[in-house]
Amino acid sequence: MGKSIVITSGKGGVGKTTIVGNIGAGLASLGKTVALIDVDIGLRNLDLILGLENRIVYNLMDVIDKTCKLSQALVKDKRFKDNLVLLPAAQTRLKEEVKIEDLKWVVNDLKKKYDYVILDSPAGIEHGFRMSTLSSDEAIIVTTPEITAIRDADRVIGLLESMEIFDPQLIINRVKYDMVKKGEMIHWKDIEEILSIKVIGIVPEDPYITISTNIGEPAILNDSSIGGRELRNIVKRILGEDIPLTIYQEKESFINRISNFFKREKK
Amino acid sequence: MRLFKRKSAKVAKDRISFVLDSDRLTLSPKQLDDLKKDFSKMVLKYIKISEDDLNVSIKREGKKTVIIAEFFLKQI
Repeated sequence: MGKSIVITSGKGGVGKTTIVGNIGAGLASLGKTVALIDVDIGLRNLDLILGLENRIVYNLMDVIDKTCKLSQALVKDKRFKDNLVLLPAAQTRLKEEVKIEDLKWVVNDLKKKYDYVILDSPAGIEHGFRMSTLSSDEAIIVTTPEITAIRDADRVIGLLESMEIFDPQLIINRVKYDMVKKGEMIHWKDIEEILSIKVIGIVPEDPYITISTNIGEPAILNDSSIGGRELRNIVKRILGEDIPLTIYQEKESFINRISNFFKREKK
Repeated sequence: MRLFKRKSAKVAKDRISFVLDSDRLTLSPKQLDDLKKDFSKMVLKYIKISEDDLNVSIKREGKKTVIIAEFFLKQI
């Protein structure tokens, strides 16, 4: 029996969908079987992050309406020998049309076949958020170092508790290390203290994320992406590896990088 | 003036801490301020210290939200 994890945030635009796509790709590349569900019905995007938009035939709504079988609606990602599948959201329907019981049934069915079922929750705290949360065993909250996102994350932590999902974990996304150093961006330790939940990843701001979305290839697959590097650590932490948190230090000059590379080689 | 200005991350931390206290306790900012003031007054009634040496804060400890008064007791 697999495990279901909801990725949620309260606030929109903090990078939930990007993180879902990357964690899914990361788990699959390490040999786990993964099903990703886009619960953002009406505003689907996970297909674009993964570059699978042209291969969609059926969607979550078709499965619920029994227009097709669950297995028919799953879009297989060939890059991972079919270890990764996507259940896309319907683009022309409304979230309110899905009953919590329906989504629970789909998630439970997928848990029988996949090691991880990851739900991409819509922003907000309404029906879409509630049903993705109530269908999940665990939760990961995504925030950025902005107080607006932190406030919404706190609200979500409270709501998760009332829905009996305890001990959610936090990913702090889009951290600009040079601003943190100058005291112009709130430090991740302060965010951890304020929200009093466990941080499982600090993802640096990385222009490559935009490029990866442009081309439909998760950044986690690119060895030189600084965001991808930290996302790989998050995946390992999800798998239970004990990897200490690190903050990527930006603005390392090219010359420094080369000299550091040779220093490392000498050791 | 820039030299004496507080770093914006510190301002952010103070602001988010205050709104979260207010959100978590479902008190308006004014009520939260009053609660802190009244709580300080109560402590100061019994403990002989200056008001500046008393710090009242609200913290979340796991599932509980607690109100904390911090001060140094004078050695006798």
